[in-house]
Amino acid sequence: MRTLKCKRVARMVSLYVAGDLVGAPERDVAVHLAACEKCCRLAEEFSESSSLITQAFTTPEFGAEFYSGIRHAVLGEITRDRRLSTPWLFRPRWLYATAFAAIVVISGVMLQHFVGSRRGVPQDLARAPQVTVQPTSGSSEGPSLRKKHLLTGKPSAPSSNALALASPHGSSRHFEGMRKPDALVTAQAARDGRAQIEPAMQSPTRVGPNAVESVSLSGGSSSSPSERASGSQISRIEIQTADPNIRIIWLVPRESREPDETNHDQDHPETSNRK
Amino acid sequence: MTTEMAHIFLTDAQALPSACEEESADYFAVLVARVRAGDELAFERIMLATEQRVVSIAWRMLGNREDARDAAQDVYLRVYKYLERFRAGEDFRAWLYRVTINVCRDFARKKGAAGLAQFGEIDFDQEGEVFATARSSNPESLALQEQQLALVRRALQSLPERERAALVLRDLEGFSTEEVAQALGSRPVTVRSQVSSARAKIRTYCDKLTRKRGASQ
Repeated sequence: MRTLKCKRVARMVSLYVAGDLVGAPERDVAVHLAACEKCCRLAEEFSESSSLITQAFTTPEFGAEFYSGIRHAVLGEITRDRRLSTPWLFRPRWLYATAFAAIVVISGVMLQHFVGSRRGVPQDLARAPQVTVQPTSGSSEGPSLRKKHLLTGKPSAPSSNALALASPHGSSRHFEGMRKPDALVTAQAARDGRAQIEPAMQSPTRVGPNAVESVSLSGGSSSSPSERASGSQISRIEIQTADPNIRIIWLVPRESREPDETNHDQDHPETSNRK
Repeated sequence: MTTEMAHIFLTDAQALPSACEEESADYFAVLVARVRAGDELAFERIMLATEQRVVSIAWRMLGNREDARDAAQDVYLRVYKYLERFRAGEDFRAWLYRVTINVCRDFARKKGAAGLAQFGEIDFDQEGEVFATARSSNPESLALQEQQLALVRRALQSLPERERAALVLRDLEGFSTEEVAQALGSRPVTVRSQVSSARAKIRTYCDKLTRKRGASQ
């Protein structure tokens, strides 16, 4: 049989006394203790201290009132907490989740609006084209007017001008429901003035120096015959798109059409894109 | 107390498990499920079944009646609050005792070192029953025995928290090593080592003080 050294038994003897050892270790310690007086005395000391611990910490009788007091206090606290607790809908975790969802939805809407505004410039242009016809002095423009890109005022300025239509006599008309597509504006304008603008550009004598007449067209389709006044004047048609940086400027002579000038169809409206 | 018990058993005797089933794990599983469903009566049954053990552990860990009562209240409030964290299939009592040990640790930390130093001198004398069995006719031997008990209490209080908890549960509450390990959330080998170390320290502590007093006399 294997014999244990005292040092090792000293580490195991407390477990032996309390009955924590089983099997071979228990047998080995028991054999060693039977032979070793010093370790046997150590085991007795452990046994004494163990019984002292048990004796020192014997639980007293607390009594029924003591326990019922604990129960009443606990249940009272629980009931109070239940009463004071907020409904589940307003508990913080739901509040945070709702706030987060709202932020996500708002962000999504804003993002969609932003992207739509970036992509939808042509659509907006089709929805609400704004056309302004302003009188242009032929003498001041001269022959070089033909393909000149005109840079008009500041980006914020044109929109206000485009909404008001000034009559030749100073009266103004406001038009609503400007819903004609830009293509129609262009076609209408081309049909009306294509044949006239070329000779007007080429013959400065037709353009009167004192042309002050001004007509604004809405959607490019509302130009009336009265607006195309006869004479040697050139009307300047400005089509303000939704983008304040883009304005289409068209020069239209006011005189009546001449059959021989209808061949000059090559000149299309010029678009000035200012950024 | 008797009235309350009668009320409890009369109102819900059919739905709740009977008292003879209290030792089974299913008993607590049923009660826990009912508490989760909002049944406060089931929680009272849990308290009735476990309060003596909880108070005993708290008293042995903290050393006085008032702290033991406050700790027990805190234990049950914590159990009620965190009952959702209790996993089905786990031993409820082991979980409850772990909560008790943790609450007692928190209490001991709150009291601080000054409070713990008085452990051997406070309230134990007021719990007259502690010494009732040890009383003898000889006043001299009685005084000597009380000194020894005070030494043991002080020795226990001087132990590290984990060793103290292991010793209380293993030697004083009579749990098996496996049960102590479950309650403390550690392995049985660790518990055995902690208990062995705690016993050796207490024996050494008592031995030193006894020799010192013997030399001074």
